[in-house]
Amino acid sequence: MATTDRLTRSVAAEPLVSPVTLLRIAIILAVLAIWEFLAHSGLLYRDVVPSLFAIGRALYDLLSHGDYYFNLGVTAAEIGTALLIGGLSGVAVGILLGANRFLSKAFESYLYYLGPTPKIIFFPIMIMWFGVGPGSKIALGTLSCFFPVALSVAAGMRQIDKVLIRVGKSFRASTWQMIQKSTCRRCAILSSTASGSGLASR
Amino acid sequence: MSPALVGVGALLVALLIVELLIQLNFISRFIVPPPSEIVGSFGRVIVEEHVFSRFLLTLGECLTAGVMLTVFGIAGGVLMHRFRLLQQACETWVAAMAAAPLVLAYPLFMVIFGRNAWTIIMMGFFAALPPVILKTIEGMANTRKVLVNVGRSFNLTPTQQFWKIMFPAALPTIFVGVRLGLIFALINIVGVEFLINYGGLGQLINDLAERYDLAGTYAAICFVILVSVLFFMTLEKAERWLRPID
Repeated sequence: MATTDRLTRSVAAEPLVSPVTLLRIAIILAVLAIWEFLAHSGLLYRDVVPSLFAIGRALYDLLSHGDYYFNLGVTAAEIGTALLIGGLSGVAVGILLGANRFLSKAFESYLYYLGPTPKIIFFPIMIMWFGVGPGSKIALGTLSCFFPVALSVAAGMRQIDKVLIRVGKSFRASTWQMIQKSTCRRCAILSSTASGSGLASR
Repeated sequence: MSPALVGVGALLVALLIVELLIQLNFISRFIVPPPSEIVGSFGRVIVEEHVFSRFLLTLGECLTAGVMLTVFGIAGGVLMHRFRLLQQACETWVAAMAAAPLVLAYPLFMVIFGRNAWTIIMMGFFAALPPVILKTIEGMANTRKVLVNVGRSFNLTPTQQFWKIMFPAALPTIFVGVRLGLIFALINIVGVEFLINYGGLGQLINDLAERYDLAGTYAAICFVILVSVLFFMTLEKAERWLRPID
C-alpha cells in the first residue's frame, strides 16, 4: 500500500516540462529577442548584427551547399591528424616522463611552463616550415594537443597504485606489458587524450 | 649530475646541433635562422621594436580583462550557486563555452568595439570567464557543512553568512579559477593581437613575420614565451601563498 501511495504522489507531482527546461527555453528566447532588437534598432550596423531570418537563410544556404561538407571533412581530417600525431607523441613523452623520475625532473618543467603559452605565436614559423596548406594547421593543432596530453599522462603515471606496479614486477612483466596491462594508465591516457582533442580543434 | 643541469645541457646541445645543421646548409637559414643570429637580434628587437612598451600594453589588457573577469565571473558564480535552478539550466552551457573556440568570433567583436584595445580585452574577458564561474560554483558548493552550521548557530544573516563563511572558505578554489582565467585571457589576448595586427606582443610577432625578419620573429616568440612563463610562475606563487596548506 505504502509503495503504491508513493508512486501515485511522484507521478502527480512531475510537471510536463521541467522548470530547468522552461528556464533554458526562456533564456534562449530572451537572447534571440535581444539579438533581433539589436538587428532592427540601428544601434549597430545592420550587416554586423543581421536579423535572425537572414542568419537562418544563410545557415540553410550553407548547409545545403556541398562545399560546406567538403570543408567540414577537411577540418575534421586536420583535427584527426593533429590529434593522432600530438596525442601519440604526447602519450609517448608522458609515459617516458612518468616512468622515469630523473627525466621528469630534467624536462617536465619545460613542458609545464610551455603548456600555457599562446600557441598561435608559432603560426608564422609553422607556415614557413609546412606551407600555407593543411600542414601548418595540423602542426599547430599537434602543438596544442601535445602539451596537455604529455603532462596529464605523466601525472597519471605517477598516480598509479604502487601495489599494481609491484604485482607487475612480481610477474616479471616487461615494460611494454606494464604499459599495456595497467588499466590506470589507460584511463589517464584516455582522459588526457579527450582534453587534448578539444585543444587540437581550436 | 643534477637533473636540472641535464635539462639545460640538453637544450644547449639541441641548439648547438641546429646551429651546426644550418651552418652546414642541411637546414635552410631562410626557414630557420641560426640560434646565434636569434640571440644577436634580441637587443635589436628590444630597442627598435619597443618591446617594453608593447609588454606593458599587453599586460594592461590582461589586467583589465583580469579585473573584469574576477568581478563578473565571481558574481556570476555566486548568482548561479544562490539560484539552484539557474545553475542547473546554465552550468553545462558555461562548461561548453569554456571548450568553444571563441577566438573565431573576433570579426564580430571587431565591428562592435572597433579595431582597438577593447576588442582584445573583451575577447580575453569572454574566453576566460567560464573557469572563474565554474570554480566559484565549485568553491561555494564545497564549503564545509560544519562551517555553515557554525554560521547558523550564531544566527548570521544570509549576507553575513556569505561574507564571513562562504566566500572566505571558497576563496582558494575561486583563485584557482581566476588563475586559469588569467592564463586563458593571456592566450586569447596575444592571439587576437596577432590576428587583428594591433596592440602589444602578439602584433609584434605578426609585424616581424610580415617583414620576413626571421631572426626577429624567433626572438619575439622567445620573448612572448618568457613573458607567459613569468606570468604563469607569478600566478602560481600567488596561489601557493593563498593556500599554504596544500
